[in-house]
Amino acid sequence: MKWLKKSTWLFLCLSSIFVSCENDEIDDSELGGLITVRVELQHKVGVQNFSLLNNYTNNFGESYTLNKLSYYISNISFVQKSTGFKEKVPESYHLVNIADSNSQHIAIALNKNYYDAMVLTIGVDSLRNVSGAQTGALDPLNGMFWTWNTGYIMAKMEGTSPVSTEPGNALTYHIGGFAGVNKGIRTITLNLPGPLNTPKGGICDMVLDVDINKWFSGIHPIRISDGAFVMSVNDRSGKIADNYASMFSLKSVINR
Amino acid sequence: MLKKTAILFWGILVILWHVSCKKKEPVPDGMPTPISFKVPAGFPAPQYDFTNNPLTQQGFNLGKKIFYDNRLSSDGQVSCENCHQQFAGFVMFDHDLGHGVGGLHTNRNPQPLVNLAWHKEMMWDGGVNNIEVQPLVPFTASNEMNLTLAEIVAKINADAEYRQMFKAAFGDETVNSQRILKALTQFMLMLVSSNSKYDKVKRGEASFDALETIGYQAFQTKCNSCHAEPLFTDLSFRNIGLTRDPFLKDNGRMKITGSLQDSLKFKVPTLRNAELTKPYTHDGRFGSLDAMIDHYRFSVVNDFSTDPLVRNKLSVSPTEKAGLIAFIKTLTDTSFTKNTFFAR
Repeated sequence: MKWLKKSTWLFLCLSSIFVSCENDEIDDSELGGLITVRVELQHKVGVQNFSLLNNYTNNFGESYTLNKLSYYISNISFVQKSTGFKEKVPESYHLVNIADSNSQHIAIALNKNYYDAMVLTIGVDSLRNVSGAQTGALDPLNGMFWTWNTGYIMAKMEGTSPVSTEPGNALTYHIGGFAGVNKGIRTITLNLPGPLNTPKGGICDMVLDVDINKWFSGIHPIRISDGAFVMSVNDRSGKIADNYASMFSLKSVINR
Repeated sequence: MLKKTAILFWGILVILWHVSCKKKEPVPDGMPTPISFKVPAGFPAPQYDFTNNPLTQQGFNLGKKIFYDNRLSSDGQVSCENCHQQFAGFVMFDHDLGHGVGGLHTNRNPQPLVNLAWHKEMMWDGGVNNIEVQPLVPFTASNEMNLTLAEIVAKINADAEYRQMFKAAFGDETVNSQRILKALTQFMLMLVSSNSKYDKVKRGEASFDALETIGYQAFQTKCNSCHAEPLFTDLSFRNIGLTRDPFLKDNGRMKITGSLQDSLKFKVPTLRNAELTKPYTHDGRFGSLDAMIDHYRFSVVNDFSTDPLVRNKLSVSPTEKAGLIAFIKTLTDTSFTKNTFFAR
């Protein structure tokens, strides 16, 4: 009867294959999500609205003007803090570009509505930095990719400042690196005032304030006069990453 | 009786399993023709993950066309082939440094494109972490092909023949950087050299002559730690005691890792087809196998990062040197360098 025992085990193993095949099909019914969260990123300097080519002053009294600001937001997930239950948004890679207002709106489909925190990564996870040719937001054509030491530029700030000692008073912060202590990837958690509670099929509008001045003073003091050019991974680029991770704050959550 | 029942039972299960998991849609016409990547006997498992870029005849053909297309440069003169010529084992024949548009020199000696499926880090300093993104370097470097990636995509997209080839390889005419890079990668992955006299000896189809035998013995005791068989590189980065060129000021691997320990370290190059890939080293400073071997015998300069294996220089007798040169020539694979499958 030994063969029968073996057969039973094999049968159980094979059964699991049947089950997994079926699961692939069931999943389809959940596509589209129960609710939609629309995230809008509103860029500011302090309380002023931010726009390119306008002049602003950082907390050290240094004036600056930007002509480019882009950064990645990726791996968005929503969490129910009491249980730790997390819903990861699949393939969530977004390149936010100040020059393109469409890029400042992110629509997310969620299967549950009881989450009370949003987790997001500023930058691109290390795996996608080593996985070869990508497309969409991660297309190297978007100008956010280093070729000499391959990997994504997680965030990029370009402009001018009279206190810059670089040619043309240039201000250039390209923050990258996907490994090591000075990498440019940061993951932040934004607590919501309470559970989303968006009704089934409904839309939740969420606005995040993004304070550009935090690049210079969010956590560490980064004076433009101390160095207006960063294009590699080092202690200063890691500090700038700490700083920009603190530029996001939740402004409002409204169910439509 | 019970056994027969069991066999019947399993037979039915297997059939059911096939039915339940079979794709519903019929295979459409015009699907690309798969190419199976053959790992030569004795080779390790490839580094490259083929699952995200399955090799097909159409993908390979497209990659080959891109590889040989000199329109993909700012002066219309420079294709990938410019620095990677098949007859020279896919290096730039007899050039110390490569040169791109307008005759501008590059900073390093072009590396042979061979057995790349086994390499994880590309370039002399390992700065490129995946073969798929490697072509971005020569495409965009101002002293190589000197175009933006957007210009590359636009030039290819403007060509109806290309668009048909994209459709054949990927199912529709969409031209994007990902497809360009994946097709080029398919071409590069297929550049496998494993049919030299050395390989034939290993397979029992040929034998070394007396001098080659002396050379192989010397190789196994003095060279094999770094130029490890069967790839003839262990893919590591090492400082072999070369002084830093005062004009190129190339610190090698240190530029990538930022670690002082990696100063003057460069990737160990393969010796396959080395007879054809002269001159040698990252800046092409040695013009012959003779001069290259003499470096290890007489002129290793010790720095803090110099590899322990060469710090005391290598003791190679004149007979052994002649043997080593004869042995290295058994790594020349003319079925690779003359294979019309890879030719323009």
